[in-house]
Amino acid sequence: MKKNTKPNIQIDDVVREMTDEEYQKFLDECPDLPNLAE
Amino acid sequence: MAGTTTNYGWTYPTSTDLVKDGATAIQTAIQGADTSLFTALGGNYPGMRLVKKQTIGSAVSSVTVSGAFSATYENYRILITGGVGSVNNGILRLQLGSVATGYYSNMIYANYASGSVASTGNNNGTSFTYAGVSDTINITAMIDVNSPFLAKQKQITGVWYDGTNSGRSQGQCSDQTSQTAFTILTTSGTLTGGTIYVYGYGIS
Repeated sequence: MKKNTKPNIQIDDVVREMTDEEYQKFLDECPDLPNLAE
Repeated sequence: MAGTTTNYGWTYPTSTDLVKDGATAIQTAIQGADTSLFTALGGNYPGMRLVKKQTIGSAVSSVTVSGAFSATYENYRILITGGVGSVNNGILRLQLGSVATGYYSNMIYANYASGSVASTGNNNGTSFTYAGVSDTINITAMIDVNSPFLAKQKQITGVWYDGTNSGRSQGQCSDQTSQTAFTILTTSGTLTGGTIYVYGYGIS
């Protein structure tokens, strides 16, 4: 996992880069939704 | 001799009344104002009121809004407007508090040209899907959440669209614990700018 591929996370007014753990959790919970426009 | 106001008949003392009766006169007058306002406005917390406003930061894939839900209101509307996504046809998701399981929903949508109807399901998902849209023009969502603060399962509805279809997502979060916060998440790309508004439906 490249450090610069991790997006930011925002909690109220605070924006920071996701930790490795948060990024993995985000990926794990992100559903594979169909692109309905195709 | 006391008088009354023109419109609502609030009682007030006159200059010849006894000073010792002043406290009682003030109580009577202010109670009149309280009663009139309660009636005119429709209750303690009438109508729809803005309870939280959050500006979305730069290149974020999730935005947590804390302190959004409370005992003051039972039901809420979340609106997102403005800003831009980094990709087109981005699908926004919603999580309540730290709940990342037990979301059951579907999204029924129709094609603009043909009107053909189709649907897609979300069975015990980690989030409420198709809660809103992000594309390179704007970020938009219109979500209703019933009873997020109560120790009950929560009903959720949202609106979704892309360049070909639009539809309505509806379902529930089966978690029965009280939640005060929510998180908007992307499925792809990031969000920059825009505003999240949270309104409480008045309970009077």
